[in-house]
Amino acid sequence: MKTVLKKVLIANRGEIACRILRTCHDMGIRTVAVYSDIDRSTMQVSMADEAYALGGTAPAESYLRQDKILDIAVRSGADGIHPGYGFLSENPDFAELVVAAGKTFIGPTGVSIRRLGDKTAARKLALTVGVPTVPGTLEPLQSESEAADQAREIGYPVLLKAAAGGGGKGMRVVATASDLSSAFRSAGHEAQGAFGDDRIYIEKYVSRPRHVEIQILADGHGHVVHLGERECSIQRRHQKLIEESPSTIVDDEMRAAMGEAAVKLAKAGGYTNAGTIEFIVDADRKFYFLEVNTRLQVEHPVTEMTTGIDLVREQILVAQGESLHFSQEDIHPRGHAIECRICAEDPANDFLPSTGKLLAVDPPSGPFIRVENSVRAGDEVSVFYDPLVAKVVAWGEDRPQAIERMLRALDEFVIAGIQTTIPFCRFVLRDPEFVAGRLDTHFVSERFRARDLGVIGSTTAEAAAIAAAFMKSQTAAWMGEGTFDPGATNGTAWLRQKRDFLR
Amino acid sequence: MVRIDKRLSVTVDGRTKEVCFERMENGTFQMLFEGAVHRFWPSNHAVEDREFALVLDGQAIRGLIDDRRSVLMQRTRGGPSGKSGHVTVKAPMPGLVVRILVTPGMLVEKGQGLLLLEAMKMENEMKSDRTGRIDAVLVKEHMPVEKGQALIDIKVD
Repeated sequence: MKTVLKKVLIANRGEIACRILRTCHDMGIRTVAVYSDIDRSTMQVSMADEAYALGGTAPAESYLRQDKILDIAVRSGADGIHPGYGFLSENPDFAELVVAAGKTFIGPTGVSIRRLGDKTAARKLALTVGVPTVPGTLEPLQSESEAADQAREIGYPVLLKAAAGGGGKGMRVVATASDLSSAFRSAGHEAQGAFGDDRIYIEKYVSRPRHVEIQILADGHGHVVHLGERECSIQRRHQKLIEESPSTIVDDEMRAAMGEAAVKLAKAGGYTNAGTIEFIVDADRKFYFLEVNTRLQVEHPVTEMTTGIDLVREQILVAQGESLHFSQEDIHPRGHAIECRICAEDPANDFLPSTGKLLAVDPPSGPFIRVENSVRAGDEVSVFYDPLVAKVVAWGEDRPQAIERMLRALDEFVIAGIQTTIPFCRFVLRDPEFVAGRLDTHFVSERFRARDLGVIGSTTAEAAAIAAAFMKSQTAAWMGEGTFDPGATNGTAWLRQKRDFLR
Repeated sequence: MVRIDKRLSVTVDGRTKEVCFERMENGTFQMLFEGAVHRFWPSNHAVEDREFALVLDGQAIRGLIDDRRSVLMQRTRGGPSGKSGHVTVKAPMPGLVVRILVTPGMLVEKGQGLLLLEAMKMENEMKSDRTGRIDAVLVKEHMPVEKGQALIDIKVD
């Protein structure tokens, strides 16, 4: 049953494909990248030993094509497939197809994905093993009227969630009965579009909730350990934006209790490989099981930085049939790690996607900074895939030091040509409530105002006005007039000071 | 490193000062101004002639530039457009119209949702930035749209 992987196909794109490629290379494993039509010249292809075209552009035509990926695995002689996150990572049929093709799936078995990845099934299992859950239905809702009945029983506010969901898609908070009808329909519609599955279930909406999750690792020999928690409460529309470990509300006792619950659930589900047990924590520090992510998480580097454990390496070792080479007592998280997701979104404009060609990319570096970047100058950020272009992770001996280093790194990060979430991250990391560790999942909607991003000091305003005039002077239209005309900037919401120029 | 090495002077609010720009190899700019080093780069491709969006010293800054030409253009148009008359809501990015929330003749408040546009697998609600009356809906549900495509005309009083 023990195998040694020699060549691994990464069935993904972007930063996670690059991150997995790197660990494979660390381990002397050859790598196979796959790419859609518009991804031919991306970093994931450049970094791999081999690369094969999937054709198509939209995920359904490319990274979701199980047949093509399996065909490439056979053709290239890859003996393992790593699905990354998103795409096929939590598809139990795919996990089983890979195994049926005689290849190793670097992730949980199809059976355990079904047991724990399906939210309803996982909640049932949690209830039977005594892991606390949020009040709600165990079966998907059959109709709008059933949704209304259940909501009345549980009590508003309620949360509607897609059974197959993730990343906030197909999810709606409903405050009152009058909003239920439209929320039920739009959540079902969005879930159908995103996952091809419109099943929705309902639960009590916990107010002032914090999102705290436990990373686990399980081998095929019955050993399960947890690697501590990640706080992921800085979210917008249920999309995580900043994650950190440890959480400011979790102490040793609570960590042990949450870790024990997570391990218990993973064992009950017969889970193997890396996984994340998500909990919601209320204002009284009571925790409730939310869902299991049966895959590597976007924010996994935070745990890697505090524990010193390469999770992708452990995933590969476990997939090879090896026993975990450490036990719970060997795991001693140290210091504090924060991750900022750098997304191609415009925080000053309601986080609308910002697409286009990247004019320059220069990631930060320096002491205790880790960057998971996937883009280079000249790359096109398209509307077809996830807007995440890079992650910055900072480590510090304590939280204030990690925050300081992160702020420094964000200021170094050059991404020209699109708007990114960097200004938003800078805002959060400077916010006194965040700095004090007082946060919950309402943080962004309650504390972040887009207009605050535009508040700049007079020195910066003057420099910005000169810079803007200079950039304008470099454009063809301006040069075409043959002179540097005297002009003026006229203040807007963003730039209030009026400045006149003469050059 | 590519140096354009222009020694320039700039007059800000009537005071002339020295400034030095350098274009760096990675496409960003460096500006030496009154002893301070500033780094900046365009954060967006020019959206419209007068708009600018740049990142300076880590801060995203946007605004409008008026040069002599644009000031003249505005005078001939009779003031900045959009104060009254028609406003056309345009698609800020390519995407798919999922749902239209308004019909012609409907009164809309500033901040009211007009339509849902799907891009990057997320539904984005396009909101009205004016109060007015819907004059025309120029797209249909399930229709793909390009960046900048006119979506909805609003008559503003």
